[in-house]
Amino acid sequence: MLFVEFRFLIFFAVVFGVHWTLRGNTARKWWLLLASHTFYACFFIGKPSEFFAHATHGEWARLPDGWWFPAVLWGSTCMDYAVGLGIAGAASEGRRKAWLLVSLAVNLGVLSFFKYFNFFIISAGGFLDWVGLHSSLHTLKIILPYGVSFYTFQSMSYSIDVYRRRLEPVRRFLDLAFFISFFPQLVAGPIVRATVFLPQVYARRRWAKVDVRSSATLFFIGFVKKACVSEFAAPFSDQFFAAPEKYNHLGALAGVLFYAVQIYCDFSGYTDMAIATARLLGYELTLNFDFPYFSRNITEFWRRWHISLSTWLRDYLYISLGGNRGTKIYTWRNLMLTMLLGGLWHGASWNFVIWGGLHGLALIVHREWVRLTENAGLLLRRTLAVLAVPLTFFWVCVTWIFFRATPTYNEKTHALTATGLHNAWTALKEFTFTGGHGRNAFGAECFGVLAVLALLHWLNSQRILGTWWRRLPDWACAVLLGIGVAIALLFVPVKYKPFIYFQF
Amino acid sequence: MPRVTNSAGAAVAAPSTTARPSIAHRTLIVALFLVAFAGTCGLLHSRLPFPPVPEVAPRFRYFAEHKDEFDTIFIGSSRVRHGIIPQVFDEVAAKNGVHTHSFNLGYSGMWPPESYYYLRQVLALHPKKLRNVFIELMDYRFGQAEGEAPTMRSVYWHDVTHTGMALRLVAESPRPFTEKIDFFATHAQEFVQNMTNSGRGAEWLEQRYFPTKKKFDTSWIPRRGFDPEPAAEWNDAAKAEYRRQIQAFEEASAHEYWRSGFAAALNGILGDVNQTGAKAILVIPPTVRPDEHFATFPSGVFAHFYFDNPSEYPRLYLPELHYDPGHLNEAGAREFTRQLAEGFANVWMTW
Repeated sequence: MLFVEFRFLIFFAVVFGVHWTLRGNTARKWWLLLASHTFYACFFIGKPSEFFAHATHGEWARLPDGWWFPAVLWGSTCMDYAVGLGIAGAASEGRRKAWLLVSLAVNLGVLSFFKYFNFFIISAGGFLDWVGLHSSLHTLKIILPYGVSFYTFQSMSYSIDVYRRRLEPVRRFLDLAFFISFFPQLVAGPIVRATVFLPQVYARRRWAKVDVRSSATLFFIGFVKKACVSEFAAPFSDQFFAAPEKYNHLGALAGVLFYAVQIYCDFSGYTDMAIATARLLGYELTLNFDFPYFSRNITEFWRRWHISLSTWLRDYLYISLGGNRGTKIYTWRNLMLTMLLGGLWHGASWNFVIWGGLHGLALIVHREWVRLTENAGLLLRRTLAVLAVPLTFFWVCVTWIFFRATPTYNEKTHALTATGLHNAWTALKEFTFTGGHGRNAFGAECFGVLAVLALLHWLNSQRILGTWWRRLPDWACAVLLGIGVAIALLFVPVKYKPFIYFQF
Repeated sequence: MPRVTNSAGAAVAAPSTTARPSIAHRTLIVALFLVAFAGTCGLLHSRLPFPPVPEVAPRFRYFAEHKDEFDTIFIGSSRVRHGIIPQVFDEVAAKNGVHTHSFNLGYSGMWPPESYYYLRQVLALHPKKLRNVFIELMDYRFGQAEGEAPTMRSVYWHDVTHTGMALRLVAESPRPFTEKIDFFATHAQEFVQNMTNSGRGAEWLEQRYFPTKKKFDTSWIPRRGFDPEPAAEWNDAAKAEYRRQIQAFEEASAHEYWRSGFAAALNGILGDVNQTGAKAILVIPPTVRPDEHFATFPSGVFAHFYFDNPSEYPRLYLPELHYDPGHLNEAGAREFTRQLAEGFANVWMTW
């Protein structure tokens, strides 16, 4: 079930109505837990009547793929609940650490198995073949449970925060289960920290504090981003990346820019809808995007793009590795490792590793650049300030080319068929005006569309649209929203693609 | 709302108030939203052209551009599309003394209520010469693969009349309750999608920017809507299976799938055809599906031609003339069209 689907509207209306009708906090949490699992089940259950018929007759083979996904979710939740209590009750620091290691090992083990097992097998097979050793390694048919990358990180953050004494362990299992499986953020984030969410779980939510108008507006913005803008941009980028060698430089420019628009609108649109949905239920999720394409450097970009992941990586990985407390080389290593693992988090594929590596490299270069230009003159600093945003955006687009280039594997030879990376290389040459002989291009009006989108985005980043909107009286807001939704629906494809981040 | 300014006199966002708005205020706001939404949807719905449904729309548009050239049309599913050759029909009818100029508007998977909606759109064009409307007699069939998301094709015909018709046909069909609920939900969703014009702009944009993705086959234009199925080789097992299906069909032929909702839908469309001054003619192409056997003959039709009888029309049930059990190949289409045209001319001449 996607936020942009009609059935979600029905589902949410029921959840919302019952949630605010219930008086007690515990009853509400049970209700939302049930709703979250219903929401999750919609991704794999197929026809409920058939599912339950097969399940009650023990016909496991006939159940749809992924019927066991909730078991992974529950397993992770139960384990971290036990770990939390274990850490709290541990008599010594060693035991506390042992409990934490259990959590890390199980959570990372689950993640590694589902996400990286085949990747390592294929890569190992490829390497052995390369050195001339025949290998007979076999891959497994593994289906990645929806949201596993997100909820394992959430539950790990709980265990780590309890270990670091930033958080009291949860005494009621319901609270932790509700936190980990809360449906607005279950499948594609934002990765909400236990320290942020659990205090909200303990206190009864108040309807009077829900800002319905801003939540509805945020949901509408997210809806437009995903269902209209991202879906509109997707065919352009798909067509370009399918055969980049056929496009000239301007075609490549448009293709890559459309992908930048697509991925931003897809993911931030999802996040907007998730935050709005949670707000309507009285809960606040973490901010995940803050106009990242207007960042003045790559460090700032990572403070504004997928904030919940980047701060997670910073707090639990980068700082744990030592952060910038050591020598320059030590800091560089930590930065690069963090970004490489951040890339790998997105998927078990070399293109994500390259993507992470490019960002890591850019972070190191930026760090050194800041140091070198500390005492630069005013003129140089002003020149750099003008170029800062376009240069950062250019680099981000370069990295998107690799992010988009998913390679394919030959299972017989264990070889990485470099179609994706080869295409990425071709696209990069076209995009950077350094090569290529293609002739295809997209119409000139495409750049007009991109310019309009950029202008709207800029107006929004300057809070101009938001301020204007907030000044409107409620009745005008309601009328404009009604007209806006009707117009937006025109541009919502009857059949749309799932969110890009669902695959991670 | 009063203008809020900061100490420098500049306008700033109004601070959120802790005063709770009254229920009347909230109701008014929700009502305003709904009125604005419904009004805009209605306005857009009335102004937007026929939805750009892949493949269905080009045939409709072609007919709309040539509507005054044809006096006879065929409406129905793939069995009409692949089974009736307008040129052959006109030749045979002319030989038998009736002059026609026909066009095949059949399309794969076009069953009631979609076929009735489509026919009503055709009639709304007011083709000046239209005299004969051949309608394939079929029962309701759920046109989508199970669990599949809606498409423009499944959405475009869901107006009030035809959604109501679909719901009634589902309600009275002998399907399990859970299946009925699924169908109800799907039709309701598609109705909402149609009324809110969902996807019309996106479809237009896609056709504007990616015309190659929507490149339609237009080989049916010189054949006046007829699309031949290729000749197919039948092995012994397939022939035996086909014979078994024929036998099962003949044994089940006593069944009657005639229900009140179905009759009302059919009478409605027949009435609409008759109102234009054209004659409604019902056709059942050769079939081996027991649920397509109708033993009742409604009033309001000029003639009916039911070929659902293997004993009476043995040639139409020869495997050599079929692409598969449900569809005729080109040779079969020739034979079927000939028999249909002869029957039609006979009725016309004796009328």
